[in-house]
Amino acid sequence: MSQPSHATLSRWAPVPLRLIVGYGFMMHGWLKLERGVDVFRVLANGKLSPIKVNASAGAGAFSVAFAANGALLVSETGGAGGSAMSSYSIVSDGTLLPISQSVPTLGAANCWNVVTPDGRFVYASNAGTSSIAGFAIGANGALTPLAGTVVGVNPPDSANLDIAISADGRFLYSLNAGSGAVGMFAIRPQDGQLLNLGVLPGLPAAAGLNGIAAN
Amino acid sequence: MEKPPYRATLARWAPLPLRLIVGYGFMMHGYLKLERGVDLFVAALDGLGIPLPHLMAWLTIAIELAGGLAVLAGAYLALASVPMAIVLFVAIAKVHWAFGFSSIKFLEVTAAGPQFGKPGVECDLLYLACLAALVLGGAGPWSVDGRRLAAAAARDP
Repeated sequence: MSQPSHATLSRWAPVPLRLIVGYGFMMHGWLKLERGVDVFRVLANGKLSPIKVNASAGAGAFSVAFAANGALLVSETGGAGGSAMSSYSIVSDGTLLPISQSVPTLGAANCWNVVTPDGRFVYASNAGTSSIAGFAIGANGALTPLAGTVVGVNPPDSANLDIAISADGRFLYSLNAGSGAVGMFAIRPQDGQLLNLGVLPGLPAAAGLNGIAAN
Repeated sequence: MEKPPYRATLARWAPLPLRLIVGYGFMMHGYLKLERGVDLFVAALDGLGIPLPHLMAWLTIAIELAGGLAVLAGAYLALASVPMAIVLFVAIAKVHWAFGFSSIKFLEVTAAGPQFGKPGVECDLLYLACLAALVLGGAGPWSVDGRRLAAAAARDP
């Protein structure tokens, strides 16, 4: 039986490196997502206090926003069970006290969230299922799903990553990175439901678009 | 598809950074054990339930120093990597396995600076992957093994 040649063996040399480096980077990224929410207090001189590490109510804490009443709203990408949102109150040393824990967004890959200027509603962008979930924010920071939870739907494979609300609080826009478009919605003020106004195409879908802002 | 010539020229240098970090890393670990005092390491091995802790302590240090030097020099890599891999597997089984995968576990920032948790198996696996890549792919340029192969090829073209 002939032995494998040096050339045959050497072509496999990168494989163990790819395995450990690839897995290692992915694991570090996942652990950061899983880790929870880090809180810094802003000191009088503008510098930040040491980090206060808080466990997340659910897996995959991805983005945070403050409600008008000071409650912290956290988007969780979640695991196989789907994405969720949680809310917390913050005590003076940076400790987070859960208010609503992992309320389902009935979608996948919940990335960014946005709060209406009047602080009544928060919307979460389910990028994996191209939908938008909506919640009412209670006076104590509790999250209550709006009727149906999913209040806005983009075309399939839109991959709406980021969302923004106009300064007057009347309209919501989603960055549909997968299709290279902007999803447009009107916000019904009485109940927070979204009225679909269609999509504006024309953005480069393969450009790695990540963020959107509205004024 | 044929590689462009510049790519082939660059690719032959790929083992060099692996040899530098693996060789230096092993030698540094051996040196630090000597510097801290072998008795401390013997006590640690004894506490971990390793048989013949005194002998094993000196053997581990010798493997780390000589193996690291062999990797740096690219000398007898296939042979040197066997005891080095054994040291790594023992470290995984007896020490790091209990602490999961990550070797860098950021906990918090305090007034004393960033604080980290106990290291898992990640660093051991990185060393093992580097050794496997070197054994499979060869020691590359500026190596004893490279000179040995060239001499053998010249004798027996």
